[in-house]
Amino acid sequence: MIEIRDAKKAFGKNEVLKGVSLKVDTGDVVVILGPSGSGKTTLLRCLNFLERADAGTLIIGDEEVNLHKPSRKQILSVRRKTAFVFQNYGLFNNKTALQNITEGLIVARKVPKAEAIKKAEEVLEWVGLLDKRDYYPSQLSGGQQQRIGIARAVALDPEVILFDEPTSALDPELVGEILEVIKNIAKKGITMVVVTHEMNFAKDVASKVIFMDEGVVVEEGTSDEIFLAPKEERTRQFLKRIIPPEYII
Amino acid sequence: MGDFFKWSRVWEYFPKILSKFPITLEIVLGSFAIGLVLGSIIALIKINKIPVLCQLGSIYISYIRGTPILVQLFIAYYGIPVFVNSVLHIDVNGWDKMVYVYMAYGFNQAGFLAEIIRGAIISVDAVQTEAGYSVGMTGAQTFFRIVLPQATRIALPPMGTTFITLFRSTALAYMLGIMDIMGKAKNLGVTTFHTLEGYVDATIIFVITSIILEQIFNLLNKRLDYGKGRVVKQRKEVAAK
Repeated sequence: MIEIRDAKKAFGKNEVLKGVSLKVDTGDVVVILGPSGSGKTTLLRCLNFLERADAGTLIIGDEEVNLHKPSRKQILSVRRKTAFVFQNYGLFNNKTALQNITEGLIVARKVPKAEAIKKAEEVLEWVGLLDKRDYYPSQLSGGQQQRIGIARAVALDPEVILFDEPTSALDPELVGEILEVIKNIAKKGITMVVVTHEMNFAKDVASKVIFMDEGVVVEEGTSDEIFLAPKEERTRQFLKRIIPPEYII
Repeated sequence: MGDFFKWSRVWEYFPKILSKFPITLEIVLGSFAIGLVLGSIIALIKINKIPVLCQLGSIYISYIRGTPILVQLFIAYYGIPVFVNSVLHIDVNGWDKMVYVYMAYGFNQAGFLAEIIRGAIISVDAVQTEAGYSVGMTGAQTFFRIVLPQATRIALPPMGTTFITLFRSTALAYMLGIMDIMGKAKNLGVTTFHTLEGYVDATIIFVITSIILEQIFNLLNKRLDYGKGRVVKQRKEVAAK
């Protein structure tokens, strides 16, 4: 279980998070929606300390960490319990597809090399890219890179995988294949927090939808509650703009 | 041309001048090593913006890049003994001239390499570091396993250029009385009154070595391309079809 309490973050005078609280149960797929600049990505990045929050508490498993003043040990511990999928893939450019996956296992999690390679091959097979194991990221398409990014996250066997707009850098054509991969992770029962603009994906997969705007959580609920019967006016406005009218009818 | 220039003398001097090639090589390798260590330190100081040291680093780089190597050689040769004697109270009388040559060229390289290294490290995309953190690596692990190899790749071509420039600029070391390629050529000229032949030999040695060095760096570049060359090759093959 993961819980965030009252996370705050400002970049200069611009308050991006104005006290966000969030609870993610084991096996949950939490989708965070919201317009650009609403703080979704910042929230996600504060969760594994890629961004340092100004205040707030993170509870992950049995560990409670101050989001503003974590110790180095806590930062590492939290990062080793989480995995992150980047918008622009974030693959190590100097490592092959296989090494991209084994790197974190061998170096950070001290998994024996042979075991790490076996695990990596397993996840590469699962995303359908085993034949690309010795290719460098520069030799792969965006969709392939992102599948490897996701495979890397899954191989780490984390308590939660954080997805930061995993499809927004891809061609429309490739979005589907990535969403399919993410849906398969959801079926495995892995806990996920997904920031996305893919409404259909949110509807199909989310066990919980969170709508954020201007640094606060405006509304949260099941996907049916949010999409079919939003309580807040701001949520309704947002959905009306995002989803084509015929879809609502 | 009369007796002023004879090819026979070019052949006669060549082995004598070539025998001093190891001295030149020693200066190049020694100074490059000093430059690499010192340059890396200055680069890290500048990247981490360590106060005072960072500004001193900038001044140092301006001095190195803004003054001729000849001036730096003389400053090292005449200035360092004064400094070491009066400030550090160490007797420099027994020091070999080569020490000053290493210092002058090493400090010179440090200035140029610092900027190359700094530029290369900061040009590695921030997401590479973030990705390293996100899989649970420490800062040091991320730097040495992910950022540094990529930065090395970026720094390699400009480093090759400075290396070859350094090789050529060592020709000035003879001004301090070092018997390297240039020193020997000059020396032969003085003793035999036939100066030109020695310089022709030096030219040949410098040109050939520069070409070889260039080839070595090209090879290194291709070796360390992390798959980019293969992509280009694949595309060319596709285009050819």
